[in-house]
Amino acid sequence: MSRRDEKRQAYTSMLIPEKKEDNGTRSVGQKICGTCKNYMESSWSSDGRGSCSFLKMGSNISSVPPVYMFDGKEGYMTKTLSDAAACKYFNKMKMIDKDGYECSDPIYRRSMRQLQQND
Amino acid sequence: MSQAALKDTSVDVFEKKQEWWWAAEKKRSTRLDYLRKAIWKKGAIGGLYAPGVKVDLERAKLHTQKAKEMEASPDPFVMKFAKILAHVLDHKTIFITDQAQLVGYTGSLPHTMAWDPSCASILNEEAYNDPTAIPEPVEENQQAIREICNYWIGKSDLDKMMPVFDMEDLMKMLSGSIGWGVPLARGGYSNKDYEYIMTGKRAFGDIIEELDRKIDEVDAEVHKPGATAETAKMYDKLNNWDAMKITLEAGIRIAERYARLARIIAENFEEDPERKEELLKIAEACEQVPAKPPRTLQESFQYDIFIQMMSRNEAIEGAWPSRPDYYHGPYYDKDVNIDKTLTKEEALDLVGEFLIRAAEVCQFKPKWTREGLQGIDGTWVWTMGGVKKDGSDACNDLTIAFMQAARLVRVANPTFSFRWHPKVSDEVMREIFECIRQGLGYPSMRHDPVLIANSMHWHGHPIEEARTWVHQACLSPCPTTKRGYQPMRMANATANCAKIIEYVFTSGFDHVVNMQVGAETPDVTTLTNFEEFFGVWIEQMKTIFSILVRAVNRARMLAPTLTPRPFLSGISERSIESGLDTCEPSLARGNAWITAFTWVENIDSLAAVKKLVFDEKKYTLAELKEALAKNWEGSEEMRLDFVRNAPKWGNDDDYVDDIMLRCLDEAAKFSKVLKCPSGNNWPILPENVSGNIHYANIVGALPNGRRLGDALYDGGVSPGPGLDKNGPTAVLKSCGKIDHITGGRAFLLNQRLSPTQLAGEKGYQLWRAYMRTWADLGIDHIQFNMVDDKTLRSAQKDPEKYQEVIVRVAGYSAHFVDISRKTQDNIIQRTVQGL
Repeated sequence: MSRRDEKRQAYTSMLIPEKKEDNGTRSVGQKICGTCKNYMESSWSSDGRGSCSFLKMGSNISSVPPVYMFDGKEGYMTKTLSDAAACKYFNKMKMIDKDGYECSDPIYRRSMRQLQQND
Repeated sequence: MSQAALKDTSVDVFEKKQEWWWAAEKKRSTRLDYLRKAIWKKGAIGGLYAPGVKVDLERAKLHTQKAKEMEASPDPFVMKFAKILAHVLDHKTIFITDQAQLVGYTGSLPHTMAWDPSCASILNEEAYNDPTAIPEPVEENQQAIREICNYWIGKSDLDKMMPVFDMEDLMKMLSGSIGWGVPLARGGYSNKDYEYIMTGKRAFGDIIEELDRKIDEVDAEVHKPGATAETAKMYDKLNNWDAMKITLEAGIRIAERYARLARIIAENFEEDPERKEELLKIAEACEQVPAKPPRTLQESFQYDIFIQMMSRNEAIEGAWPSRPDYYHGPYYDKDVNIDKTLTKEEALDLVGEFLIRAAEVCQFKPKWTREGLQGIDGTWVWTMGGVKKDGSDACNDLTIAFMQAARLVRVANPTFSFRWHPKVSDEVMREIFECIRQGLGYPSMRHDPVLIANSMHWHGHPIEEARTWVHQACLSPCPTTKRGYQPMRMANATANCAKIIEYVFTSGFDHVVNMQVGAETPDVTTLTNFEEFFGVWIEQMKTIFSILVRAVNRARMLAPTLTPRPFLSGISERSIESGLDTCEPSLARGNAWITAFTWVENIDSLAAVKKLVFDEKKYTLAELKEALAKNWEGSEEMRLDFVRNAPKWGNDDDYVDDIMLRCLDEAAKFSKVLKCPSGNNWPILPENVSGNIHYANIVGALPNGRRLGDALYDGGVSPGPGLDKNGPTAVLKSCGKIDHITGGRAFLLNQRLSPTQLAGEKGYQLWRAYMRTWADLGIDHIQFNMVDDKTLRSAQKDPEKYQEVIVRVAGYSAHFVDISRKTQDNIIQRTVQGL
């Protein structure tokens, strides 16, 4: 596999939007990547893509048992609403602002409906 | 303030207290007062829209409905797209508000923001996920948004572009760490060929006739016996011309709908004879423009509004390049001075309303845009003054009327930027000063001779064309001519430059977004002297700029086929003439630039490393690397040393100023290596909008003592807030060391001045003396905040009472209460300079 192929494979999931059928009101767990201190949402996209600043590419926190990779350079791509209940490195952040008007802040994600009851 | 208190207090009292907004309210006409108060402010407060402002689903539904209908149509894409745009214009809800003399809106209701879901499906989720902006009934509309989002997945402009972009570059860009924006021809800053469309020589009807002639000629040509490569290309031209015609005809039809509506109201419902007359005048105006050239000031403004509205239905436009005093001035002169069909007061009402109509324009934007442009929808930086093509003074009575109207209506968007040159009269300068003194934060001042020379140097625009320049965004000059105008400036060539110095310490790995973004340069601890260190900085700078430019270049080349602009082409001479989309690079001379956000952090950081690490050897690079990696935690004393004891830009200190010149020189050299698809250069343009706040949590700790999360510096070449300790002249002298012609495309300089010191005639003379120094030093830009700390602190404490306080944020102004607390604090921290 060429280096270009590897990157294409790794990035594809981040670049193709997902069709969703639900109306977004489904409840989410108390532990989701979006409320973890290690999570960084892409400031460019707006559908909750991001990466983990702790785990590296190849990790999989939704498998049983979870796979944790610490080697390599590229971060583990995840999403704001990914279930992090099984991740032993989950580190809940403190939500600073309650109304969402502040910016450049972890509460950047607060405007997402699913996070509103999750602080 | 209660209405009674407002009534009982005189204008003089308000002006003495510098409560200019109350004075304005008392001074403006009933009409302007009504229209001003009826505005729905659509700029985001920090990152979220204000309560009551909603996404307009009508635009999205119409577009999606027609796109679905046309899926199986045999039309080429450009014609399908033109028909979709025509469908939207033909079916969108239109309305006329009370007191209005000008009509045309982007939304279907005054409080709505038009949403175009066809640009980037990846951004559409923003509308779905933001419960504050979904209109009632929320659940039903949320479901409608879901369906629209789903439809555009795989079909939006960006989805079409993605497979043909370089994936590695795209991921780096999408990380949000080094760039800002999307490389799309239907999302960014569109200039217009105003010399073709706005000089009164032609309008849509004339262009349609011209298109018919061209189509008939070429159609006859392709059907003659024989076939060549040129013949094969002619079919594309025919399709493009057909598409242009479809959009122009739709433009005329929507104006006719407004005319009908105005007549229906006047003839059937309006009882006030005066208002009835006004409505009939609106009808006449909309029957005249855009089909035929305007005859009056009202029609000229109406024509401009229609063009902007149609263009904003074709694309998401984040700017409003314009030169209204120049292009509308002759109509003012005719109506007010020659024919005397308008009094000065009536004209002022029209000018004020024109500003209000522009302030109401809004298109729904993703959160990173809102954060970077807090308080406004886009940078409507209108260009005033300057010189005519022959070099004579272009200021006119309308220039003055705009300044006066701005003080009456006090909208934050549009703002003005004034092209200063030595022939500007004292009368005009006094009007400008009054706007600044009354706390509007605008006009910003531009050095016309310097910027004309700059346009000729960087892009080779001939002098007559260079002299037509307007602000394509906040402060980037662009001609309004056939080959000089740039149809789309894609915002993603906006570099978050603080990453350059950050990556020197991380070998290009971005620890915030967890990705190798920059160049894999050697471990910083192996560097033994400043020259080696600076060499790594250059490599990182080149790497970041290249990633962003490659994406824009690719998008520009693909734009004519994947994301055509038939309407914009239809008002562009080069497209009418050639039959090619106006984004076709070979038609343009090229006017690209890299916006350099967070630039000065590099200068102060390099100076700190040079002094404390290499000259004084107080710290090693290893110690500094570790301190930065830990965000200075446990190294506070060291951090303060880097803040206090390293030279800072803006103090007329050659030690650090020379580093600025070296950095700019390296960037300028590389700007000529980078080429746009038209073959022209990519100079840098340091400025920030409110990206300095947006990036606060994205840029890691830096050697200037900054921590992750701290606001970055506010201006392109503005010193760090509170770090310019040697007074206003020292700031100017530092900035004056830069060659503003060859050093870069433009340089944003923020200054805060004391409103008390600048009161009265003495204040004006002090400011003029300061501006003479600015002009003598050849600095291309300066803008002022003249609101004191006390007022700003009071506004933070009691925002309801200070709703109308305006501040200059960066290349734009905003109401102070509409920007985030962090941005407010950042403005207050800026040094107040005594002259």
